[in-house]
Amino acid sequence: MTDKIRRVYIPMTETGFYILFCLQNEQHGYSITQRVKEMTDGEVVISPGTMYGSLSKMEKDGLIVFVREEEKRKLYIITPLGQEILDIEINRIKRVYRNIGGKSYE
Amino acid sequence: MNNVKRCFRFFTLFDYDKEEKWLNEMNKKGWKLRKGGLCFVFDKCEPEDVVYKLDFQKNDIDKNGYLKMYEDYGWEYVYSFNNYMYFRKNADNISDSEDSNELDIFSDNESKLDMMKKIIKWKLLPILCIFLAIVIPNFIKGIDAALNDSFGISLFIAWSIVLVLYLFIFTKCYIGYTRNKKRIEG
Repeated sequence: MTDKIRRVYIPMTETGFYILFCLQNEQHGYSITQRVKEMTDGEVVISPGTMYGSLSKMEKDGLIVFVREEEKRKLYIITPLGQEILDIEINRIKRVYRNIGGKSYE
Repeated sequence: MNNVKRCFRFFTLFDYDKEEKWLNEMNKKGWKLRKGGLCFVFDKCEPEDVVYKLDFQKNDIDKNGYLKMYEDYGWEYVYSFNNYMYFRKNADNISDSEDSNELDIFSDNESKLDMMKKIIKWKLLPILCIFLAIVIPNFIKGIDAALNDSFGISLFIAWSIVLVLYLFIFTKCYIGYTRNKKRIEG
């Protein structure tokens, strides 16, 4: 992983984190927004401009890769580099959670 | 009864927020945007609360996939002009407090600032280069020419007008840029 990628993606924005997290399974932009909405009880809603920009940037930086097209919708999936970054982020967030005394999620 | 309305409006690079608001107001008055540019064409319609949003994209995007994504989120594509993409969505059925993100095409500040950065890089910088490489040198040459003969004077006047026009546009861009940056960063 280059320093540039590390600087840009760690720590990650909430939007970026959820997009990358969802792309552990093959998905397109709108389905990611739907999935994130469910996961966060409607608290995090990612709009199309933000989604399009994030996906383009992550694809360019090699975190995700275009898999196939389905009715004009582009489906993406995470790459090994993306997974590496996501794992670093998950561990960082777990550490934050532990340090604020979190045991159960409310 | 006239069913088509034409309006001339000039919006500079960072006036898209004003443009969105104006198009929204026109739609509320019963004028639905057909196409824009410098001359905006509106069709008569029922007055409706419709939100207009502008996105900025380079020419090299996969337009089909891009428009499909906006369509998935309920945004209707109207047209594009000068790399600005015009979208609209009916706001009547969406309450502002409940789902404010449904009425915006950007859900975080980062992507809003990204759009401004893209406009600077792909539109403002080229204009600035033309200004520095062509307008300024010709204006300076014009000063010399103006001292020689009457043709030189008219050349000088012509370049002065161009110079003032550029300065006017830069000023408007600067005002729009700071207004939008302030709006985003609060």
